[in-house]
Amino acid sequence: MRLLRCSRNVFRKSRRSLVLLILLAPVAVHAQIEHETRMIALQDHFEVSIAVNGAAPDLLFDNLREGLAARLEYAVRVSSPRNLPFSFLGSRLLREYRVIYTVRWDPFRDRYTITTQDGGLFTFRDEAALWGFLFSLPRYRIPWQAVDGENLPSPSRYQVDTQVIYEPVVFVPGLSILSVLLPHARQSSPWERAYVEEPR
Amino acid sequence: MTARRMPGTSVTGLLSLTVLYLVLIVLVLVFAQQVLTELSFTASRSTVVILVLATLFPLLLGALIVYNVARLVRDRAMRRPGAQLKSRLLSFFLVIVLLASIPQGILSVNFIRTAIRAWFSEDTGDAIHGGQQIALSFFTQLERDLSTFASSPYALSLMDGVERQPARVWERVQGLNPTLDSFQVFGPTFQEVYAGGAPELHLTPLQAAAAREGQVARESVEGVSFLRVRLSYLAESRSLGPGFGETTLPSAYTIILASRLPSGFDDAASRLTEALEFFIQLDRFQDNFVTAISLFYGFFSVPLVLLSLLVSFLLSDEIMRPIVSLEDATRRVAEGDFSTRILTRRGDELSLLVNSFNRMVGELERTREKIIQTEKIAAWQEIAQRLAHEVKNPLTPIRLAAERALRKYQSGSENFGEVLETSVRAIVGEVDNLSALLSEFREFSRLPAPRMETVSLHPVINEVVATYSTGSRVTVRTDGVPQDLTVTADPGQLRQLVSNLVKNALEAAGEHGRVSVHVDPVTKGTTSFCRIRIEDDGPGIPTDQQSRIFDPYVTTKRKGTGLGLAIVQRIVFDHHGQIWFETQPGVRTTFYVDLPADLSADDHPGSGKGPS
Repeated sequence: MRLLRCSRNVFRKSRRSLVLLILLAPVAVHAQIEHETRMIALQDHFEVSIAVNGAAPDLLFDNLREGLAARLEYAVRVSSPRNLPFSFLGSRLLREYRVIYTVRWDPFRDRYTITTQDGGLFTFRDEAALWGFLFSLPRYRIPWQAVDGENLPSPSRYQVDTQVIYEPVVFVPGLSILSVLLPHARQSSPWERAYVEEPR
Repeated sequence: MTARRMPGTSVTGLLSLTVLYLVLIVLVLVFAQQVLTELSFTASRSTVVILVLATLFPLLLGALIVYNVARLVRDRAMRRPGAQLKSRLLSFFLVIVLLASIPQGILSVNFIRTAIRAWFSEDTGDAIHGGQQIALSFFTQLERDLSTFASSPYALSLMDGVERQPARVWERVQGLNPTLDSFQVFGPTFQEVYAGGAPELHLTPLQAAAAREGQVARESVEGVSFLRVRLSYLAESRSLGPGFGETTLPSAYTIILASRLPSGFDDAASRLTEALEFFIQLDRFQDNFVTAISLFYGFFSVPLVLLSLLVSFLLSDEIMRPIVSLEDATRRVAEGDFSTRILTRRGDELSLLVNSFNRMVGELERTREKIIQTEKIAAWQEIAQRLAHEVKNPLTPIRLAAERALRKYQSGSENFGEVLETSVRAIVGEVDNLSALLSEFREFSRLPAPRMETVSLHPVINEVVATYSTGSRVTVRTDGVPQDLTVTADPGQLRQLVSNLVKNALEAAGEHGRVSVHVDPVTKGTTSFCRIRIEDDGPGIPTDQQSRIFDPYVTTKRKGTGLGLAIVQRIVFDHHGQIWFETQPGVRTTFYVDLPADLSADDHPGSGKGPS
């Protein structure tokens, strides 16, 4: 209950200075969390591992216990730099992958549950285990073939951009407009670029 | 004839505004749809496009309004026709728009606030929360019952003989615990020995092997949810087979018990959880939501108001155009262009007004032509009379002189030579007078169009004054004529103008009179003039001749032709100046001439600062 009150106070404060928050909203949309990307190239695929830092555990678990849902979205873009005459156009996007975790407390299971966008379900009794699962994407496999069709893999031609978007509260339809206005409703890390190395 | 078309409704402008209006409506609908139905609308790309459009749209409208307002302010500053009336019309339109939109906005937001508070009261929240607690209690009770039953020693005792007669054991178990819906028995190697009850709740041997001992698990298969528990039962003995004699070992059997949850329990529980989540969010962010809705309303109502203002500009233009056309045409008529006409195809009251105006101008043009024709005839009649009179006057002395000379000659008078000389001199004198008269007449009638250039007044005045001061006993003073005053004039005509006025003043002043000439810069409104003032202390102009003093052949002098002042007036008129006089019979007469100052010489003293 204390945590619930604390959480409410956070939003009440923001309510008092809503005008200020609206003005700051575009700024707040920018990086409030950070992430690290590691990448390993293998023979037939490469693996991307992402670890997120900077999220507030109290805010997440207070919201979950109160009955709200949270969401974390990992975005992985695989692209290829263009040749000189067209380099001003930026890189050519080859594929984009998104992994979306929606986490909530299930009173009927008496556990935290994480559902993925493709219907996968993970349950957690332990908060630390949930935290570790939610804020890391270990060894996400991306097959070479999926990236560049039938072409032979030439990893040095590829670059990977990653970003993490974290919503401590997933607003239900009708209230989704609040995610534009409230500064902490949508936190995103800056895009981070990494280059794929030669396969081992 | 100049015909000016009175513009009708601007179809392009109306179409553009209609398209803008429809775009705005579509934006509102799409954006509202996304906000109300899309769970993660902020993440969708279409939302970004809509937000960008919704931001650019009011900016575009705002820019158009600023442009129109700037044009209006400029028109007002330049006192363009219709600017003030257009401002007033726009003010009326703006008031109407605000009168309609402000109460509507306040009512809408208040309605939303009130509706939210009424529909999502604490009672509703308690009811939803209570419903979830009841479902949870039911579920927990079911789970606890199954767990308690499975862990009780009595349940294991019921399993006696399950390896031999599992169907009978199932009957016993079901008789004791009717909430059980499924009963499965697996052998020591997880081969299925028996499966009783609802088949949809049955597990495969692999699932049975993976299940945890004693733990109640909730599962869902093809929309059916159930609670399941696994028990292990050791059968009494099992022969090891040939070669092991009578040796037996206990056999481990796995028993799976399952209870089905009520149909639709999961969906109902899920809906309750979602409803509670919605209610919690609404409770927590209610104030923010109302503010967000207000902002959302403003986000789209402001462009609508701006659009209405743009429509107001368009409509006021439509209203003002015919009025401005009329004003323009009226001004042209006032300036003397009677050929102006306005064309219109509208069938409204303004069209009637335009037709009346055209008829009136046509009538004026015809009347003016008649007047001009009449004036021409009258002028020719007057000139003929004047000429006849002026030519006839010298004819009598000429005739008398000639007859006298003839008589002396016929009578053989001694002084015939003397008389002849006197008569011929008189005749020549009169002929000279006639010649001078005709020259002046020709000069007046053939006065050429002025060739304008910048002329400094000081030398012209001095030259004329020097000419007339030489042989005259009259005192001429040119006090205070500024050195640098310039006008735009024909130098020859300017000289003639000053000369005629000075000569006229000298003749009026008499032998002992005084004449003074002054030049001053003056300003009338926004126009600067050079004022030439010529004053004499002669007998003045008789009252009965004052109104005709500038008419041709009107003179107060015995030998005057009456054309000097008429020529002066004509020159002043051609130079866009003004001439008038002040006279006190027996005291003095002053003629004033105002000529527009040369605009290029903007640094002369007094320019724009003199008395008006």
